[in-house]
Amino acid sequence: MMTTKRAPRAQVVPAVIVAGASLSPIAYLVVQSTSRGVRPFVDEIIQQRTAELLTRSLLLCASVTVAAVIIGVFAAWVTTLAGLRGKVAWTVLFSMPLAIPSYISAFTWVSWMPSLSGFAGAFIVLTFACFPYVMLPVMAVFSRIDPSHEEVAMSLGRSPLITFFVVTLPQARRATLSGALLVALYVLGDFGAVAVMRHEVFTWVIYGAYRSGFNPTRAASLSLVLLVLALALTAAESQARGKQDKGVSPVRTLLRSGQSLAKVRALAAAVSTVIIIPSVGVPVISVVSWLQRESTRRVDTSDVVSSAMTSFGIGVAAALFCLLAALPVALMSVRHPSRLSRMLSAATYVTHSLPALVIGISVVYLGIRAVTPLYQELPMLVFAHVILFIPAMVTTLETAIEKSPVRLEEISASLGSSSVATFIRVTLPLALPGLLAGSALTMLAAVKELPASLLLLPTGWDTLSTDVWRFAAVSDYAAVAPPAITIIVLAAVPTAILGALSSIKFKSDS
Amino acid sequence: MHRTRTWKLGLLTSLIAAVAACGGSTAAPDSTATAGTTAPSGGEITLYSGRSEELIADLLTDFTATTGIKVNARYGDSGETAALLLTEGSNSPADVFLSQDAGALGAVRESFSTLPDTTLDKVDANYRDAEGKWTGVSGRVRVIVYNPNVVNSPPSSIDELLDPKWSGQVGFPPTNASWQSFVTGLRVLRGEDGAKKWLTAFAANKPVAYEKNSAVRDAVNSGEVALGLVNHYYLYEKIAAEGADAVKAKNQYLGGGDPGGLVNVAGVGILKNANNSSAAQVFVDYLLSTEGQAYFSDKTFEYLLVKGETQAADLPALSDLGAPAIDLSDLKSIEITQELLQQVGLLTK
Amino acid sequence: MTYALQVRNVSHSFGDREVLRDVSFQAKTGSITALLGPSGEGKTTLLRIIAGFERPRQGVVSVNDRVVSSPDTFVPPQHRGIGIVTQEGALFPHLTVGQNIAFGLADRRSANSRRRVAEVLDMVDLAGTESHHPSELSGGMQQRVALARALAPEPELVLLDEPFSALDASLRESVRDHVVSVLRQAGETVLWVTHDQDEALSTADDVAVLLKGTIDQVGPPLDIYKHPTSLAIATFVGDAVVCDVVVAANETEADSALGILKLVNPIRAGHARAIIRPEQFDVSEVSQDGCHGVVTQSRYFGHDGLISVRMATGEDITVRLHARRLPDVGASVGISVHGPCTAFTA
Repeated sequence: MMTTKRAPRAQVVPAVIVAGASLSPIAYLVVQSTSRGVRPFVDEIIQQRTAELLTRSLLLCASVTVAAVIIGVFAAWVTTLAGLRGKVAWTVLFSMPLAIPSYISAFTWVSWMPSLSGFAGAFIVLTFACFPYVMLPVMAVFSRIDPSHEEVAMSLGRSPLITFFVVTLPQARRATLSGALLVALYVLGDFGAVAVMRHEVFTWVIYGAYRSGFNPTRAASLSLVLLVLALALTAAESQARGKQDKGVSPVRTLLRSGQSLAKVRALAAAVSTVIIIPSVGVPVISVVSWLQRESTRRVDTSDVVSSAMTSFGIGVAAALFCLLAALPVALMSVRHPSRLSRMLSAATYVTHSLPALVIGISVVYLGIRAVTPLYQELPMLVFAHVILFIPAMVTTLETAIEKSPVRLEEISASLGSSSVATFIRVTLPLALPGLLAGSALTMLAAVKELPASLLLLPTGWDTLSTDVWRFAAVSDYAAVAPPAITIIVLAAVPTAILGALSSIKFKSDS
Repeated sequence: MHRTRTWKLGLLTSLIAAVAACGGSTAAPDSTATAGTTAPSGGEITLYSGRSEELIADLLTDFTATTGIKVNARYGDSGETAALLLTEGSNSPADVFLSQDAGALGAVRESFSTLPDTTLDKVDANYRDAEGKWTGVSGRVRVIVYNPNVVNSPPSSIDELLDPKWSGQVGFPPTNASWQSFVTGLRVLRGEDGAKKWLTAFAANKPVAYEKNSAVRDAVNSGEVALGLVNHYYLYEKIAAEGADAVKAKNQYLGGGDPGGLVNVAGVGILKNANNSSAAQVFVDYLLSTEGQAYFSDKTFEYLLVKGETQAADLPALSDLGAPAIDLSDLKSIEITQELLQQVGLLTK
Repeated sequence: MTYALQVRNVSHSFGDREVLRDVSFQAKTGSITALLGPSGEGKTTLLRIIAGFERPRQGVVSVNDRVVSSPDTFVPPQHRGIGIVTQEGALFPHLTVGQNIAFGLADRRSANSRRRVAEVLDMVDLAGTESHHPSELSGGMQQRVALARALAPEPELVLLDEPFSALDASLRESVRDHVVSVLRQAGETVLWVTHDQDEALSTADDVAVLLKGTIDQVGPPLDIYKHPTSLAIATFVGDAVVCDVVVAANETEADSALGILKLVNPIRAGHARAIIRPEQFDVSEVSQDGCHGVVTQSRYFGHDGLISVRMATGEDITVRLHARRLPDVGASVGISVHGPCTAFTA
């Protein structure tokens, strides 16, 4: 039975502030896009070229999502059910694209195949960058599926392949859908890959309107269209997902015979290798090979180290403040579900679909007017990062807090602990793994993040990502290599741990 | 600069520690900009630079050494920086905007204060804003770079490039800002239809896309393609790096007001709301001084725009080029140019 | 007689749905009181109100004569000194057994506290398991640890919320007996929420029956069984055959399809409903003047059995018999009732 107690003010007030702050970019967009009145705003949108843009964006979005779902489900199968040796290693390898920013992998493809551009280029880069978003949730389901279902299906005369499609896969429907949504939103909001590939989708046109058209009104109007598109996708996903997760039985001891045919295993390993080569091999090998190239500048180790420290510092700050901001929202939505708490949680999620560039621009616009002394200072960049990464953090925290049932907190109270003591002694330790994972991912995202950093970094500062962008813009790949390698290594360590942990965790859970 | 960074990261770290310790919530303010560091006696200016660090940093060092004025430089591409200035509005921390390209200066000209006549008079009126909002500091000319081993008589106008004999023989850098400025110039000079007509025919002649100007130049030099559309100085860069004997390629300057011979400038303007406009004025004057101009001439092989300064390299005189007459501020409509390039298939394939 | 727990006129609702209606009862100090009722009729809510997890809309709760909940006072759970053991044990998964038990102790690292942990672990027969993790224990052991954890801070009252329903049937009885003996030895006052009548009737000192959000009867198990105060309680506690009767003018006898029944308590003459417990039936050869029927079903439990009989009048009744005397299905049997019955005016 759910408690009906109202959330304490100490949660409501910060949660309302955080939700308000997350919505501030939308306030900017509305103000900017209607700055010349509603009529020009409507005219800006209702155009032949907007329709073309929409078609192009949706086409890229749909094709990448479909391809990422196919590869992601396959990778999830390889790492759980296929009975391959070295599951942990495969999981780590398949997770690695998460460590490689899309703009870096796009640069590596272009440097390797200069003729690659447009739809094909963006499709390849984004598909291989995004499939882990499908793989991870589907893996979690596959590793918990009760093998007796499959056995029953096979005893009823279905082949293993058909059994996979009619019995196993349907149980992972919700996980697949939520992964697909993540991919779709990522594609809509991605700037790096489409910019490098010069594919005219929303983010690239928004950037063009801002950077080349000096037309912030058009940029803001198109951003609003993009926002509506993303919200529609989110709504469609939750509609398709339905209310209840059907089919997955509670976790029981499962002993998989793990005896798929040697032929099947060999084929699985071969296909996996074919996936890993473009998704991890091409970027990593290219970046390393750039080191051999001639550079027009002297690459100074101390510059890379100082950029790395800046990136790291900003990443840690972003993770910490994101955590602190997400905490009241997540606590409220899990512990005191109400219309208000749902609205606040949704508010932090709305901006998820806005490209980092748009959020960067709106923080510039609002920040320089509202808190001039902080403009181009670190707190403002960290603020932009908090808005950017809070949706993922709230979701992670909600899951983590649910790990600590209310029941346990009540027991703690019955044993004499105050609510603060209970939070510290029970809720926090139980939520800690999720909390740390969420923080690590936020840190990663902040280190990889580019557009907001370009706009908001203090003058004279560089991060690894801005270094990469700056040198790549003049095609000086030798100079790109050291910061790019540093980002990949910095990001690969937690990604590898995450991949290995999820693989091991699923194994021990099952 | 690095000292500042360490100091701020330290501050950030202790801030995190403090927040972690007391379990507080939102960000506490970092203290203001550069207060903690020692400013030289000559004050300081904030420069938004559309020119990249490696092409301007030495000049800034010399400037600070000469005047004692410290420069906080924020680098970015010219268009992005202009857009940033427009978004920031009157609160912008920038004192000076140095742009690679006249179009970006045109986009923010309303935010500039008018430069004094003593400054403006140094520069030919063709290469500055009509109302004195900004002035060019160095110039570059669009040329056709050609390989004499492959081509005896290079084209003398962009229209000759449409001849089928050059099919597959012309290199160009589709994403480069200077190439796009040339197309913008083409639109200004020939109108939208005229520009589209030329571009469509150009695209039909199967030009070869390269990543950047230097790649076009190298392809011409090696004979991979016969002709290339680039800025004049790429040839001189290569000569400076490898010696005149090693470089086969030559520049063909297009006279007679041909759009292909557009002269574009890098220029500078002072923001109306500059915190330190007097130091900013010192900076602008330094760029137009003999030392400043020598930098553009010797290091980047650009055209000098100040009357009476002598060009180092053996370039044809600016006044003899027969460049098309154009108001450089009109080069700001880059987005329309990009859309046009997209339409005719010259931006992406 | 002192009462460790007193609940007076407590009402509660979730939104528009009224869950508890004017509930009053008390639990004697040092006794085990079972709170018996069907699932979903407010037992757990009442327990949560007593523990302080829920604040009732109306009414007063006192523990050892201290008001912990009333319209003007509300003592939060951490200051009530009430131990609780839940259905699934709810051990803290991140703490060891020892740390779980020490959770409610004041100075967790002191020697005293270590001694107390060992002591209660010993009480539940799990001595030496301090360093184990809950996941290493069986369900029954986890429940005993949960009990030890609740007992460690010497609570004024212990609440058990269906503590054994998650255990296997084979395990349930032995764990229950063990827990009860521990609680009795410790002299704890216990309120035990259950929907299992056998459990309540066989182990509790008192049973409080919660039906439709209110408690109508509290008393020793035998009283409740023999002298239910309503037809609802009568049919909920123990098996019963309900039959329509006509109470005679003397108000102590009633005429029924099963012949003349004696009544436990006199009630007003006229139509009424009587309840007959299965063990009150006697089965014999069919006789001319007696009631009779045909055996339709027979269930065998080893020591005794239940048969279903379709009476000649069309009614179905259930009869408990000694295992030796179970008739075959299809046999015709005579049925008579011995001992008085409880009847309620219709």
